[in-house]
Amino acid sequence: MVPSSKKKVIVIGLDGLEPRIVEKMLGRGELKNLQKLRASGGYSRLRTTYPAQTPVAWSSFATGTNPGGHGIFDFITRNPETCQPDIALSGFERPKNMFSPPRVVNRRGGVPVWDYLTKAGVPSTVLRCPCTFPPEPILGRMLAGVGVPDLRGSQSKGTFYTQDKSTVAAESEQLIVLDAGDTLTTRVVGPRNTRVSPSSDTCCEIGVAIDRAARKLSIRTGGTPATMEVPEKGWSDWVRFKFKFSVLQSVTGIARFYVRQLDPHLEFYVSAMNFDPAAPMFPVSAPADYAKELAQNVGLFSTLGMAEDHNGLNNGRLDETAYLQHCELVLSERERAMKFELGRFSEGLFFILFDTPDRLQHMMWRFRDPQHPVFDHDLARDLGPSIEEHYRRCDALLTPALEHCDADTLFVVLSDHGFGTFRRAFHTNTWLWQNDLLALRDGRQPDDDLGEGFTQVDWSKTYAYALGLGGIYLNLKGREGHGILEEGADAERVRRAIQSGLAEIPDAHTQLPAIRSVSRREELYSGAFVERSPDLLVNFYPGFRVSWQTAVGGFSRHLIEDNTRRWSGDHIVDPESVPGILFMNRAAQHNHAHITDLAPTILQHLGVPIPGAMEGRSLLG
Amino acid sequence: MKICVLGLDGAAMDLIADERLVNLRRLMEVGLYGQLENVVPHTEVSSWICMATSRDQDSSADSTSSPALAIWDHLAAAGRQSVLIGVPPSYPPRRVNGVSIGAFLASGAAASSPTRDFAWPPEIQSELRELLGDYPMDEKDFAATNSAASPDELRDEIILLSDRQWQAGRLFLGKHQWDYFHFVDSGLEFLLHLQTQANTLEESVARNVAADYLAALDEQVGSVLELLDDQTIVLVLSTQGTQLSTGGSGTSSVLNREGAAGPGADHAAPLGVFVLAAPNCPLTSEYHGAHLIDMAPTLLDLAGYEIPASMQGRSLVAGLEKKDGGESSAESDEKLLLDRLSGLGYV
Repeated sequence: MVPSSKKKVIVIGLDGLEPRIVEKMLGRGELKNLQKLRASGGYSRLRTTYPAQTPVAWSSFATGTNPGGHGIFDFITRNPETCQPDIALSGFERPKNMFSPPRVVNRRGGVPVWDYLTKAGVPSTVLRCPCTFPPEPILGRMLAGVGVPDLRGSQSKGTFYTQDKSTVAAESEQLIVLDAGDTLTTRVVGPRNTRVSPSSDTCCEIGVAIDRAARKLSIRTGGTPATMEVPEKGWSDWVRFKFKFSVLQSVTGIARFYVRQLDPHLEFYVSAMNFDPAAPMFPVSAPADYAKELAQNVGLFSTLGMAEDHNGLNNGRLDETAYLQHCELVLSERERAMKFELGRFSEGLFFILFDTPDRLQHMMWRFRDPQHPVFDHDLARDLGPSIEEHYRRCDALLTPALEHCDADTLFVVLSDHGFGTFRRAFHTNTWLWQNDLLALRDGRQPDDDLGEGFTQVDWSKTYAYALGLGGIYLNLKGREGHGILEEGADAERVRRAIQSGLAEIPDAHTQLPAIRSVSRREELYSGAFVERSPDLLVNFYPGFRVSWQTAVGGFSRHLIEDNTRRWSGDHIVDPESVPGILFMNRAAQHNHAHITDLAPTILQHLGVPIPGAMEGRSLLG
Repeated sequence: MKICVLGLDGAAMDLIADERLVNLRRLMEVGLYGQLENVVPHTEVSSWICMATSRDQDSSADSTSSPALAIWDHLAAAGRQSVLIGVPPSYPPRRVNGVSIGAFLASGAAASSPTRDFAWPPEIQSELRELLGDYPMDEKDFAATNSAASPDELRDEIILLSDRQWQAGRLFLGKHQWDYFHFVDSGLEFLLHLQTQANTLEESVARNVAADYLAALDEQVGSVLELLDDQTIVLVLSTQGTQLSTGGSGTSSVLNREGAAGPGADHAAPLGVFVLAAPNCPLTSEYHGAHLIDMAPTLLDLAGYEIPASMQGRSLVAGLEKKDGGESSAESDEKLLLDRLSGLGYV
């Protein structure tokens, strides 16, 4: 116990922790720290946002408002002018003149709880909250979370190296085919240099040499450290690379190597190129040099929003063991950051989010669901328990945090949503086409070949289109670039047709209904940003989710298909089916806790007036 | 095209080689840069006169007719407006077609401007006072007020004054109509003279102080660049570098700069530097042999004006075909968007 008279709130976010698993484990006497918390205060399921997505829910956590109050409705948004998909969390603004740098802007609006605290002179430490990129100044320290891209502007793009010349690049990766031989020179890929025409990749030359006797790869990195040895099936430490745009300009990035195999031919992998905390291309912390200070104290760490390399596993470049190792690397970096910051935390708000449980469950869920299309009986024996093992790891994380808890500390552990299986993918755009609400050019049929971004859509005959992880937009005149639908009776007919057509729509294959309901935005949202939201939101039954293709404006010839990816668990279903968890060391004063209740709860404990803009109610009564 | 000139007095080539100066580097990347010859040793004041009139000091002095016209005078004759901030000589305030604000801590300012006017037109002075607080135009007043201040305190005060001057710069850049904007920051000169005065610091320490100050200036430059549209010519320059060695300077008072480097006094001063960037500039990368008096004709040439006969310098881009300024990024928007979504996992 740390003696202190200053009011403190410690909030630990465990992204995606599923109540049914937690409750079952508690029932078995596991998760000792969560048990302790439940005993000292209470536990409840935590209602979440529509939709139940990480950036949406944590933005509501931060602002205490429904998504209409902060403007984050999905990972993905669209430009109404072009109907093209884009990341909703941050905007990339082209330089307005040749002298200015490109800029990133945080698209989350509203006022987060730490801004109210800052105004009241109460400090905050906010680590890795989604939608805080680029961070704005606060009284205290902030490190940005989900939304920080890699050095190439992507959410996560690694590089796969192989001597197998027949290999083709998988999704969201760079592929480098190596020459034969045991000693090779190749390159690590940095950011695009768009200042030259045509734009090209910046690179760092590296050398690799196979050491068969010791089963390892010796790497001359061209960066820092200059050389390293990475064992087969092992990850390296961070390497810092410097990429030169020109004689005058360069940028540094950090990445890890993974050696997949030395025989029969060499294959290795380089993780997504993260911003260097010491010199990020765009600021990832506030104050700007805080990330550097943190790295000096706890070692280099991932700055990427989606830090766990799910893509490497999804593409089969990493196996499950390598992925779990990578998850552990990310988790322990953040654990070190938490311990370091708690060591100097004496007043105000401390918040940290551990994303790893979410990323791990997305990829490992198939091993606990025998009905999943890619359930693997043999692997499930070893990997089936990996999620519960991870829950135990998460519980253990709380030990050092609880040691910082004194009589004046409000201690909160929460998840933003639960989790479930993702067996069947629903092609909403295909359904819209089947129902004459969306038209394709030249009599084309919906198919995977149509690509992303609605390239073959005939907008002059299209009334609605689906984009993002559950949203449907009307093709409204005056709003959409090629809008044809008048707001009013016509639009109303389209809304009704979609709502009645999709609700309880059966999946012929499983004999289960796929969609519980379709909500209208005016039922769900209020506030300054409602205009940004989809017009309709599809609430799937557990087991179903919107398809990969629909999310980015693509199609399939099927209406509902098996999800055959390793990304096999998900939570973007009817939010009533995927509540999160809430543990507090104080008893909640009302039932039905909602994620928007946390911001007012934090303010109340710290003695700061709760602003009228916050819709949630303090749980402290 | 509009013209934006930012003077960073005292900056020399070795100082701007610092990687932290990301904004200057970005300008160098897209533009033309190099050292600036300055044949006759100049004071800061006479250097800026040379730059603006494109006439060397000797010939200016020899001239028996009225003083040579500066670039903003030529532009005013064409009906163009200027904003001048801190451009020596500052006092009495220049009556330009537009706005003129005198430098902070000018030597002899009080004597040159007995009414204590520091800006033209005079009515903007109250607004400036509101924004900037007291306007310490005269170096002597400042020295008297701060006679008990330590060198560190003086340094902090100068950094503060410089920051306020940049605030004023951004204000007028945004709200005033201008075709020619010219801003000079003299903080670096002050800081180095302070060091000389304290006479306790090693050259390496002086170098660090200068580098840190330039890093802060680079951010100020960046904040100005943000406010410009893409039809603007940008010139960042110093008329001469500053000697970093301690001792032996001709400084006569705590902060004296305008009288510090008379002809011969600073004979070893390093050359000034320039970085010129414009959407239509046909030249890029390093340029050798540019002279201070070439700057004004080059600006006028790029902006599409006739070069007046009184100017002795030459345009660095004379006779070269100007580029079409409308070029856009090589990467298509669509590709950029797909890259941004890449690796999201959910898609």
